[in-house]
Amino acid sequence: MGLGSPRAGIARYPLVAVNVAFNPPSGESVTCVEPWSRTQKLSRLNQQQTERFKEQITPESATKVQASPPDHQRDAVLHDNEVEEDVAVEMPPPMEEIKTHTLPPSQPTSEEDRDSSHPSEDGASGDVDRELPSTASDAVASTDGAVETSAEPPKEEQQAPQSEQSEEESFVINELIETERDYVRDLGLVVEGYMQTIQSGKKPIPEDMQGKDRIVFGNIHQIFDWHRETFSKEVEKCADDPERVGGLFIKFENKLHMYVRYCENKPKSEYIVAEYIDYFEELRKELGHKLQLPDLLIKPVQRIMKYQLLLKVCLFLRMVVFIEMHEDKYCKYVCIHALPPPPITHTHTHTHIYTHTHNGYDCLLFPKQDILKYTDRMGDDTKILQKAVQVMCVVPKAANDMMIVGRLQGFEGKITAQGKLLLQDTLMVQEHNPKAAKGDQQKFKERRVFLFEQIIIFSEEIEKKNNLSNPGYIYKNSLMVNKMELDDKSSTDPLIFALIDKTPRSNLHLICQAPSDQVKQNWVSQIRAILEMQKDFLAVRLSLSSSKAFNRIVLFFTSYSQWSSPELGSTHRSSLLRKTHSHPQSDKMAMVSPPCDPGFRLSDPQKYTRCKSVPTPLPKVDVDPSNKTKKNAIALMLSSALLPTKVGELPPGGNPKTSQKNTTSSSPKPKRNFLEGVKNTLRPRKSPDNSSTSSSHGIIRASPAPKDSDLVQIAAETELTKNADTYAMILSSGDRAGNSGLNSLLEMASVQPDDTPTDDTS
Amino acid sequence: MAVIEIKLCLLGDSGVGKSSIVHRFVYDSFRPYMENTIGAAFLTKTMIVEGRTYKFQIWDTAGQEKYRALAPMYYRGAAAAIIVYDITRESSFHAVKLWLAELKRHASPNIVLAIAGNKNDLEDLREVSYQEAQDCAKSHGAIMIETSAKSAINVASLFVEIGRRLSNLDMTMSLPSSNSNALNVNQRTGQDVKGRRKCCGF
Repeated sequence: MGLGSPRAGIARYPLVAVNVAFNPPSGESVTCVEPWSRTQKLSRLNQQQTERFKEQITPESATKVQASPPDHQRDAVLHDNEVEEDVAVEMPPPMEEIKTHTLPPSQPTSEEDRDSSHPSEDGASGDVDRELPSTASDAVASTDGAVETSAEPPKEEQQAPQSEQSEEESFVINELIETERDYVRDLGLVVEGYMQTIQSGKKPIPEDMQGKDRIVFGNIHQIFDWHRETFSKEVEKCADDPERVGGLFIKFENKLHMYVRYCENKPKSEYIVAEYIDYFEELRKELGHKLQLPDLLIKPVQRIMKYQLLLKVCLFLRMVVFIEMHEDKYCKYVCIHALPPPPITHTHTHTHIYTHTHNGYDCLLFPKQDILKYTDRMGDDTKILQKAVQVMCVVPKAANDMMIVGRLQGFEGKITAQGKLLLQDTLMVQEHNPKAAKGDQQKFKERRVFLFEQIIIFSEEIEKKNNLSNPGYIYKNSLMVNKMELDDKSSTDPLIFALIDKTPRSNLHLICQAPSDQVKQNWVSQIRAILEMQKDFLAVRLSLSSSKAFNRIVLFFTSYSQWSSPELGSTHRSSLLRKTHSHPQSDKMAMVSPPCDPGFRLSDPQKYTRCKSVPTPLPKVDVDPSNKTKKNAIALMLSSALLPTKVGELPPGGNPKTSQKNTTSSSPKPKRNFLEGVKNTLRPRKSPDNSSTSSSHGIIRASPAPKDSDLVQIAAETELTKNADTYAMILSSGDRAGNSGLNSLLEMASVQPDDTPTDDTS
Repeated sequence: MAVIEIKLCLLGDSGVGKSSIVHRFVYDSFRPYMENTIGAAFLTKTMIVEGRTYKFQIWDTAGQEKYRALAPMYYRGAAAAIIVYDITRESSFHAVKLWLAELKRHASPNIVLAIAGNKNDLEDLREVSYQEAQDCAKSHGAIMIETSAKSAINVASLFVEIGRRLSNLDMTMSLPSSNSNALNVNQRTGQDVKGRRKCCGF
């Protein structure tokens, strides 16, 4: 089966001669050096792996190994003939350029390197640089002609593979190392060029710009220092030891969150740079830089989004190797959807890997039992890599969400406590009052609508004042998801759907009109999904004994999250446990530096037992200590979340046990987010007078609610520290992966085998 | 001869062939198996059309597809944006409309928009009709062209067309009366024409 699809994939492309349509200017001859494509490399890899593990391979895969000519040859030789493709083509001999390629060479022109590696010479190098032909220094890979074309890394393969490590992977690692050098150099141009010049007063800034220069550069200095002094050194070490890569990103997760702040500041910076572009241009010329300041300032934004791409490729390559060595049947559950566009071509060479998109989310639909088997068999390093990918998706996602949320003004609740932002769009919205006469109804107004996991927010877009301002939104209205009903049937207009506030005494109907059918479908399906989720959640709450309901939810969530397998998601979460639960006070750091556990360990033997052995901290819940299954544990979690009112009675100090642990810096943010989420979901049932009577307008404001940290303290107060542990674990895990807390609850439930020993509580 | 420097960014769903288009344009080759994940942060390419020299500076936006709120950082500084979709994937065309709406609202009013329907070598798998895309482009005043990075169809002409449009715009814009609302990208482009020439010896 392994063979069918790759061929099909390739044959999809009509075989057309390339290099016809476009004549590059200035007479340079651009030769299209086609790589020994990945196919071939992977084939080699396969061979290598096969030998190494002495695994039996099927005749089919054996054929495949030989049947991977480079694409241009394929084009030249074959005529859309699959049989020929398999047989006719010989492998071209490996070419010699390889080494320049695979080893990290200083590809960019030497002048550039000189410029960057000796920043102290900055003043002088400016002059040198200016004399260079312009093509030589236009950043990393400018191409004005043949010179640059040849400077492009040749894509040949090294001679026979020498190390056990996948060549593909070392290729990726080398790319990481090379681009890291370039990146540090570029940051240096800003920090040691612009910033130093400005600070030294060599080129006085315009008077009205005084004080604004800090906004221009944001925290780029910090980023630069950290990269230069720490991160790039660590990255360089990966050349010899590629296994380190994953751990690196996990270790420095909270450092990487510097980028969130950078992105947040970037729009303001852009504004000022644009305003004083003449000054910065003069400065650029004095410094002899080829790139303008905006080109340099965008680099951190570009960079932070690249790490995940590289890590995903690494991970993917490992999985491919693993899969190819093992039974085919696992393969189809491995999903590469998360990969960037280029590697998707792997689908052609590795047929049995499918991508799947669900509601616009990259997600995997793993049958649980299979992914268990599968990940169990992969090495620890792979698991670390999985975690690293997750971390590096969280960081840009956090930046992204900050950008959006930062634009919303006037919302008095905690926007960060409303779960993930699922959808946003501009819709026409009418606040419909069913009792009012037709003529009295309000008109449809244009609203920017944000759907979070816990709330849907309607806002009005601020008229843009000028082109460089960010879009801004003013809060107008909101509906809690758990008090919301969807009606997409009753209107005759196919583009309309209604959201009804189910809060008692509220008559609010929000009629939304989507600009297109597709947009409407998107909204309806998303809203339906979260409403379903609510329903299932309540169902679980009501009948935890029914394992059937549980399975359903677990499946649902599995399809919803990004790396949805419980294994992928939960490995790291447990490690957060000890830290998170013990830090109710350090709120302020939350946004900037979410928790990170440098001492992250993959296998926490106590992971499950801690979770399941939760006697209740609360009188309401009836626990049979002899039956401490995971479901009980969760039931307890939920019920404890239901009793926020207890907070007031708590002494401020908290449990001495927990405060002793307050040594590392981490933030309680995740707990808070999740907890508020749970409270939002559940409060009306248990404490109806708290908020349920409020109108949709007032819901948020009417729920001041105790802090989650206090709740953790409640748990701690009971002197059952294990409770607190479990609590914190769940809380932290929820926000962690960007999923709802519920998700992680259920994931944990699903992970836990029922037969895990339960004797850890006494 | 003046060099018209054009900063541009590519937008569109992942997998539609943004990088391939750039690669075809800059290196005139197609790599079915893309080797570099990151590639260069900026790619530049100079081409001469009708006696004018255009220098395209292409901002690499790989990896950002999912993080749409970050996109303004790219397109706000750009003089032109190419929105790419895959003619064999209807959903990617839907994204084009979203991008158009967003750019209309938040980008410079002078930004030159181009819609590229990529992979038009896969005619048999087509899901988005040429006419539909053409209509959409027309309503937004965007350039619309179907390309194939694989077969090198129309890739160069896409950029030529952008250059042409920008230089027209530049001529009208370079009048001192250019409205203050205009993003200074275009003004900057004007400066570059002179500035670059002096200092870089083009």
